[in-house]
Amino acid sequence: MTVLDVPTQGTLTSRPYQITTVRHQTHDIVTIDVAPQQYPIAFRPGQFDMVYVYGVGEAAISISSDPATPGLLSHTIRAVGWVTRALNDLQPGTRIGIRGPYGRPWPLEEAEGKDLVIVAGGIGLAPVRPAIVEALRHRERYGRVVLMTGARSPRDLVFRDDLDRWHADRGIDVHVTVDSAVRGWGGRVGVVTKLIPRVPFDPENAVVLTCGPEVMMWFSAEALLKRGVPPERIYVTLERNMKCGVGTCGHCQLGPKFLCRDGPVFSWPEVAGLLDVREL
Amino acid sequence: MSLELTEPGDEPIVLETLHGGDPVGWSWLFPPHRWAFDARCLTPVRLLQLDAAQLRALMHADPVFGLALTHRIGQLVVQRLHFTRAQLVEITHHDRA
Repeated sequence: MTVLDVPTQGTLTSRPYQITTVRHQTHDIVTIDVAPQQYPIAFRPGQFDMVYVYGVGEAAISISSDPATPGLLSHTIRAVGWVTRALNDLQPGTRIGIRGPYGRPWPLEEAEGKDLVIVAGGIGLAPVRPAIVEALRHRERYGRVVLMTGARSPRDLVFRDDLDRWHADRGIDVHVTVDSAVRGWGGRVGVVTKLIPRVPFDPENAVVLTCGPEVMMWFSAEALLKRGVPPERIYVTLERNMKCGVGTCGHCQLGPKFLCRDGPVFSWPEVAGLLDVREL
Repeated sequence: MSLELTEPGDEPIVLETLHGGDPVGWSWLFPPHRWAFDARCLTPVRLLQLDAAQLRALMHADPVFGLALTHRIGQLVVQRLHFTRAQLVEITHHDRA
């Protein structure tokens, strides 16, 4: 299959895709697998697409699939607005439009030779999933590979099959926690940031990728800094209000940054001061 | 070990799980010296038990030790309050994610 590795930043052309599978992750989160009607386009972990539902609108959605198989893209979506609710209701066979991939990817090259640590909350596991898959494919390039992930409750955990498989894989240390549970859960209960002080990794020789609600990323960064991770090695992904995806409309502007063009992946020093400013 | 809250006729709610090195609580330090929640072992646990009355007496008799221990307990309370508040935000503002 011919895969195009072409620069898409700045382009506004939507390409037709067809939904092949719809997988329900939780009561309000689905993963749709889509196949291109034209040539597939390569992407890098951490990038996003603008996904268009004909007659409804489009939304910025992170790519959650394996970057080694661009012919079958996956997007994981929680129904929170018009477009995402429409996406959640689509059936296999439906055609949608996709433009992208856009955005700055996760810095996996920087993590080579170091411990790679991922902290993900809720659906935040979706944008880092490609990075995990890619890292495990090239496992010899990294020290420890650690995943700390949490959700509001056991029923809100996403990619449970992956979590079980990764847990059994000796190449990655997986730590799962939930915010609330009833007896019978059997696992950890508490916020994911509570794991950071105690999970084994070398803070001075680690690169950390964090994704989830902004408050979770903020607390995670705080805990990581306290543990001794250099701030420039902590990365977050910000996905506020993206409309055009190409740095033109300004909806996602955060101070001097356009999240769609300059991000969505940022190092902590680039954005920590901006996140602190209300109404920015 | 899980810290649980049980309501009659309902499944116990797990508030938090505790792991090696974590203190179970600090009700022993403050009157009326009564545990507020249940603690249940999820795996075989080795527990270090101290006589609360004797420990409080020792803290009164040795103020330097008493202040150091109170300071350490205070840090643990602040840390657990911080995590609990974060839990509360994540549970109640889930749709903001």
